[in-house]
Amino acid sequence: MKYKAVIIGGSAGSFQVVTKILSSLPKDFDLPLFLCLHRLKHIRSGFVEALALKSNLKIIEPFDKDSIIKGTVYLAPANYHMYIEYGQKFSLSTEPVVNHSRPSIDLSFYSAATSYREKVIGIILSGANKDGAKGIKRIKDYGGTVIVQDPQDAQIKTMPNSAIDITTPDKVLTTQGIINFLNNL
Amino acid sequence: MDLTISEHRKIIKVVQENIDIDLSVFARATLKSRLLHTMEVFEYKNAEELTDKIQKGTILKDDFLSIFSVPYTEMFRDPAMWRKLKIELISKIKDYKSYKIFIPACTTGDEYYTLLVLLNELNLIDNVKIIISSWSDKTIDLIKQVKIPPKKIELNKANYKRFEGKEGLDKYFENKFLKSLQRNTDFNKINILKEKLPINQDLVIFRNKFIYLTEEYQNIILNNIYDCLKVGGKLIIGIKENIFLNKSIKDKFNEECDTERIYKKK
Repeated sequence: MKYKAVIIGGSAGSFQVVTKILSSLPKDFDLPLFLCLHRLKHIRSGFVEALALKSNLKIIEPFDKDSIIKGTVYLAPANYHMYIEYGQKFSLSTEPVVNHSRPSIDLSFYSAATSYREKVIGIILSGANKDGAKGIKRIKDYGGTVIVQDPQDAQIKTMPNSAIDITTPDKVLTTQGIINFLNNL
Repeated sequence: MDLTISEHRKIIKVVQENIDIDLSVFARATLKSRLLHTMEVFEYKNAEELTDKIQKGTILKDDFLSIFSVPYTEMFRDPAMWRKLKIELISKIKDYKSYKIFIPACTTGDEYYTLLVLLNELNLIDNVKIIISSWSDKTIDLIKQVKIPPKKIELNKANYKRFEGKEGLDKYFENKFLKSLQRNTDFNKINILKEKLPINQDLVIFRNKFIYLTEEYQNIILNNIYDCLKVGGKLIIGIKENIFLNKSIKDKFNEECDTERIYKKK
């Protein structure tokens, strides 16, 4: 397979899209999937459980320096930035919020771009701010594949439109289109 | 802006040689992020300008440290942990003349101020001896002065509410009240990688600082902290920190509360 990882960023309106994607991926999905979703910083539990309800894949919130294992979904923990390091490990950070967010999608995407270069797929979903746009551009600039949820399909268009404004996505897809793409890797 | 691996290496070398700071202890992603932040604050266009200014002595060690360091986020971060600690302190400190608490490597006063509020509400401020350490004189001065950015105050109040504090935080930000609670605190400039830590501590609060280090240096510092705790002393780390990948270190501690990451020295 050409790719080594998938990273998805989303905010308001992305939860249902993510649950649809997770429920449609097979048990033997062969890549690690990183989720950087804006979330309430003081709610530490419940999000993984909600995502796991229909997922065929194991979902965890990584601890700092945890190893990355393929076929696992990693959700950026509340109130931490999540970096993907060289050597298939995570680094977490409590640095200041970026785009009013911690976790920041931009920061996770930057690190994924650096670590995986052309072997990562970056996906931006529905959301109400511009977080993720610079990050998805970095993935594109470093040779990765960039997918943006079709703004017409997104509950809130700001995030997909910001990504489209700043870079040229490889694909603009509906939720079902994203699912089909990932299932045909 | 981004940094290449060779730029990283050059900055590490120049910083070590000119201002005696070992940046190789930091996890790569953190290092990159903090260097980019430092360059942004100094308004440098690229890595070459940063190394050039350091070599010419334009940037002093303390200035670099105060900008490079990750500022702590807020007071009462993870209110559940502070509620847990409150129970611990109530049960333990009342029997002590001077319960020793050490907060190493502070970059801001948030954790320290939280502890002061907690101890004041428990009326236990005179039963403790607190040591605050930082690697920067400038940071120590700022912590002593209790300068909290206004935008943090609302956040602190919201956390305090979730902590279920009883008195409200307002009074702590007025009339230098927090400053008056510093009477049982020593402030020390300590490089926790190189220098000996104060011994016989009952409690070490070292939250969300291991995350910035490589695993190698996490182990070194964890061993240093182990040595500074008394037997039965407690270590509190960040909620998502994972410092017991090394089994020999893990065996030195008992798990006191896994969800709030509180460990007890065997």
